[in-house]
Amino acid sequence: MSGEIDLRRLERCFAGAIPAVICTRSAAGEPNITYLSKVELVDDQRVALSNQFLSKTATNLAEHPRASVILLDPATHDEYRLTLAYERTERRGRVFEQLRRDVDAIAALSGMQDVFRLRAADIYRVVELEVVPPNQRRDGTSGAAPAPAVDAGPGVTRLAALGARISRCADLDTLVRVTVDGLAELLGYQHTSLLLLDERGERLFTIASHGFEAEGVGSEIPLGEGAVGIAAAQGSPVRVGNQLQMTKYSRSVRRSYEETGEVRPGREVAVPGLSNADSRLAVPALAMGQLVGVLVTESRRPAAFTDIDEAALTMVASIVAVAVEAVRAEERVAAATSPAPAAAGVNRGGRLTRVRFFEVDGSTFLDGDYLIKGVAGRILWSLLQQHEADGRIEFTNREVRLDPSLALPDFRDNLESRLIMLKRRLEEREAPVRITKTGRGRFRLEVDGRLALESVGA
Amino acid sequence: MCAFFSSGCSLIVGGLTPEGEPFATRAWGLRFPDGAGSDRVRIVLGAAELDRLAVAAGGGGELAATGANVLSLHSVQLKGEVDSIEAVTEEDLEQHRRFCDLFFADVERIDGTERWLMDRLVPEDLVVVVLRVRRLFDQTPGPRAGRPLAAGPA
Repeated sequence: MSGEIDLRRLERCFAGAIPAVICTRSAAGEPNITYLSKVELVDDQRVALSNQFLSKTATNLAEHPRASVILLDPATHDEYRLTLAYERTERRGRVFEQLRRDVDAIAALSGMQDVFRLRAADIYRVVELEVVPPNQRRDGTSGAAPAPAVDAGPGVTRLAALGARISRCADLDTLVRVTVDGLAELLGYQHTSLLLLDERGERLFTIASHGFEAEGVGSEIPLGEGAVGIAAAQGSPVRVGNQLQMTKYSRSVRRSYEETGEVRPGREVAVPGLSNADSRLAVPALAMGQLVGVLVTESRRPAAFTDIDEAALTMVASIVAVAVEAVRAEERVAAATSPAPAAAGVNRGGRLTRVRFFEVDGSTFLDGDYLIKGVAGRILWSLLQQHEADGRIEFTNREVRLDPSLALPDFRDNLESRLIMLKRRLEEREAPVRITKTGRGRFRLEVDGRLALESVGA
Repeated sequence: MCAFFSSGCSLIVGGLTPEGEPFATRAWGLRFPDGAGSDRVRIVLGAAELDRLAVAAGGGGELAATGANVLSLHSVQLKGEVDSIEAVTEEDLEQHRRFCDLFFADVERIDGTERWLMDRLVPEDLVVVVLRVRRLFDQTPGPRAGRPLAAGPA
């Protein structure tokens, strides 16, 4: 049967059709069935299984190295039975790392990435592959589901068109907007977000998105949390093809750990994005080997993304990363040579907006509604204080960068990204305060009405 | 336990082929004919699938059956010895139909999988394996998977 095996046609099953089931037997002939968190395609003839909670299975395989596995296609609901012959166990290398990334992504769905870890990847040769049942009905009709349309992925021409658009962007604000809009318009990715790495290299913040109910600018994800955080932390794409099932599995494992007392009940990671998203692809954006951010796309369809999508988004993410770094470098040079602008008058009339700033984390509220926090919140607070004190409306990036109250790091301070995020967040909230770019390394603070500033101490 | 297995949980049966290799297949209903305290269960399988298993019509052969709640993945595995292979009765068929309704409804609710896609999987020819249950295990995914639950079905 091995000559007929074409594991590639089961691609969707390996995208996370959970739960897969494995049957093994003991030396005494007693069968055992358990669930698997992940089955990974190794090559045309082999699969890898995650070895986490499989103590009985591991014992059985030591005694009798054969297994029967049932896989499910999440799109057609076709079932496949694989007869496997155990070959070896890997604790490092390409296959192990890929499987570990996938298992980490599952664990991260319930905040379990520090507990629920892959110990080893067991490699098996597939000696038989069958469709279950054969789908041949008594009346002679086939029971096979119609194959879903094969998405050939975006063509090279469209990729090139998006690349050209990105390369024409002269500033960061335009660049991030053109990227997410172009991904939808040219490549058909309707739900995307672009996150950039923060100054300390610890968190990602959303700078632009497309196709979600809320743009979510300013929302943050720590490195290592969720599919997006793992893609950033490991510098490799993470594809989740059946997120609803994976979440169920992950929650079940978490409950089990909680019952053993190994993990205390805690919050789940709130992943920003599409409600009921079943597929997510997160691709790191790297420039000169350094992480710049992460490009994410989502879909409500199971197993919506393929190797082709991964390749296409990797290419786009690379172009974006290089462009972001180039724009940042140019902004810094321009800002360094910009003279400090003159002051202007404060508008003392119009509607009053109360601005509340919390020193402890930079959280900023406008009329009681949360606006932003962290570095961007501190920047806004500093600008508004100067505006209220001496009527300033024109600013340069350089003077903001030198503002000691922001305590920006000397290297990779991310100021331009933070300013763009702040600008977009203010626009998203239709705030009475706006930031308008007036030239390279320069911007204007526009305030409608009056402000009442209140700082809450640490 | 009786209520759990009689619900619409996903059912997988494992056994050995005549060559002694492990073999997994889906079951399409399970009931305790003698009530909740009994150690005898009737498991509905596809006849063609049963032909792949080394079980004798008159009894003999080890089987394992794992039920998993589709919503929570709470799972229980029972293991035992085959008592007999029998034709499906009206009661078996009634339980089989109820099982399919509950199981498919849960899958549809969770995954959005349309029922007709799942109906395709149901074998046309069904048969019953009567199993004498000896041991039960918690098979819920997690660190306690495989922990013995009790000496026999409660």
